[in-house]
Amino acid sequence: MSVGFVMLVHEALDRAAQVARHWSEHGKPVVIHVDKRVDGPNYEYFQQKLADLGNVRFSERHACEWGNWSIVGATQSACELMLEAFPDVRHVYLSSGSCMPLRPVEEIQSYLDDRPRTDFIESVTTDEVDWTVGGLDQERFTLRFPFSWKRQRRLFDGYVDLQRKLKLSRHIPEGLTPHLGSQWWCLTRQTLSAILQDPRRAEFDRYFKRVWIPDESYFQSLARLYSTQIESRSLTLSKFDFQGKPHVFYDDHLQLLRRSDCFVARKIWPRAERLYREFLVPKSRAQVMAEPNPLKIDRLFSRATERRTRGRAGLYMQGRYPNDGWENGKTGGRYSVFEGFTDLFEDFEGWIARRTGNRVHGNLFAADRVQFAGGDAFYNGALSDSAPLREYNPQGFLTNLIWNTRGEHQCFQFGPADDQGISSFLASDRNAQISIISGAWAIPLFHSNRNFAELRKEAANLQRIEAAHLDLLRLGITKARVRIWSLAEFIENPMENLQLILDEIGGIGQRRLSEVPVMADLTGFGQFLQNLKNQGMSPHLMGDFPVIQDSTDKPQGRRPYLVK
Amino acid sequence: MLLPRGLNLVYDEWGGEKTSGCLLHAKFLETMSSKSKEELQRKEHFANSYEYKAYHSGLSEDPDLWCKWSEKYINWRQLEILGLMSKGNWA
Repeated sequence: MSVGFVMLVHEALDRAAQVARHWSEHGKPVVIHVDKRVDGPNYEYFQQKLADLGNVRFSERHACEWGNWSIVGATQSACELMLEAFPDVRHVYLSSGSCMPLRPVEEIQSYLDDRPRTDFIESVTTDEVDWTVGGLDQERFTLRFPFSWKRQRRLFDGYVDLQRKLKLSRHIPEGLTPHLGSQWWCLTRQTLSAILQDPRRAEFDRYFKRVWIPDESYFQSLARLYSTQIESRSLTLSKFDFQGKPHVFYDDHLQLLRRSDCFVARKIWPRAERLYREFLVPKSRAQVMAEPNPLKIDRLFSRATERRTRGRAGLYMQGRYPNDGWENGKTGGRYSVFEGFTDLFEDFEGWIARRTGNRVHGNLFAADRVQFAGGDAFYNGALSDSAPLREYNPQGFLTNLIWNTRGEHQCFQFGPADDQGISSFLASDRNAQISIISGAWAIPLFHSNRNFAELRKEAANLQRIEAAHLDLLRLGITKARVRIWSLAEFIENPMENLQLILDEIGGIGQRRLSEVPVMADLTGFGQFLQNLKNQGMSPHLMGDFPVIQDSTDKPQGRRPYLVK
Repeated sequence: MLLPRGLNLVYDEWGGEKTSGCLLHAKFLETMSSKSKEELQRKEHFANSYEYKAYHSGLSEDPDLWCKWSEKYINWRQLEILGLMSKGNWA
């Protein structure tokens, strides 16, 4: 008893001949169907190449078109020839010209000998498949498809729509449950001959001639009627990409293919010299196979699909430039933005860096230059500190910085004196943690030695900018995690508020706060605000400061609140 | 031969990555400063050899483009990890 190989060939004839010779010389009968569209001289040349082999036959030729009945027709005639010409054959293995055996032929034989009644054919009902690409699953069996999907796409789609609109539906032959599965199967003589010699075959053939892609459903459905034992999987390894096109295997995949538990792989690139050299070896030289690990192959290919369809979050480059809202994460990782903290605390940057072990930058969006950590002129990825370069595309600047420092948590300062172009991006980014002490910008003004008229003007300007920024952050569409305190609220309980921020960042400073940064001297700040009011400006973002500072009378304020 | 129009769509807009590579800019080559000098004499480039002028002055002042964030080239996988290129759907 033997396994026989049916090969459907339409291109790369030399490779197909090589594989056919391999099987034939190992004593396995081969029946080859060559597409009728292969021209005469090529076909003769191909036949000539295999003329010396007694157990190779050529079946009646059909002109094959993808997704069409002709492929089933070709398979039928080749199988009929196989069953008739080689009575010894017990299993028929359907393969293509771009298939290649992965394991020694003896191994396939002994595997099948141990399972003489088993049909290996992937066969699942339409409700259970999730791999149909193009949206047609059940409708493959209930609509008519007279037009070619590849050449007449508009007619194809239009006719499908028309049938849906008119609610036309075909009658599925009685007793038949449509099943789908890989085109590449291995059936026993009993099952295959039952299908081919079925008294109702004419009826079934007529039905399947108008089904879409019948090569994935004809044998898969009919085997269910006759098989005593179906193992619903294919012995042929074939991988499909996210568009439903088969993956091609190259020389690079050699080690991977060695780990497959399948006996045959498709498609192999015709010029993958190394693969053909390694796998098509005579008996004596056959290598010991590596331990099969098909999961490794699955993982590799699903990662490729993931990379192609979802990509790496936060990466913007020549092959990935997502539309707004399709980024799967606008930036590559979480980062923290502090507003007003450096105004209220002396050396806040150094303190937070020590507490969390993170990179802490100054005002990255300062008007004159980018204040990178440590005052660097360049940063990771050779980002420049030039403000005009940054302002050319502030969003690109920030996403670049976060991408280039993947694995680190970036912290930076922001305030109303900075360029505000990035503001709406910060609000829309889920990865941003924004902590704000509103009105803190007044403290450096208070400490400065400038003319009051000038101060008042500046204060009004900063307040206007910060108010607009806060309004933006309070919108419902904001995705950033935002915490806003007024200055008065914050100094009510600075320790607790700082702890809250540290807890959210994480990092090394998980112990309770012991060292608090030094707070700026606020004696007389209340009076300063009152002076601004007296001059006609209304400072409101800092909360309520009493004019006369009293140590027992703390400023009143609400609890800090989390916007989102 | 007319190539498929889809080949002009070089980047993915829905979050995924398309297969892409990168080119090494000539300014990283040692011969760039002598080449730019030569081209400034030939004066046969568009916009008054504007770009060659910039490279010439920039590179003759400070020909070393290495900075502390520079990385030695290892292989294409490194470039892929850095996000400078992508293997897209390739497995």
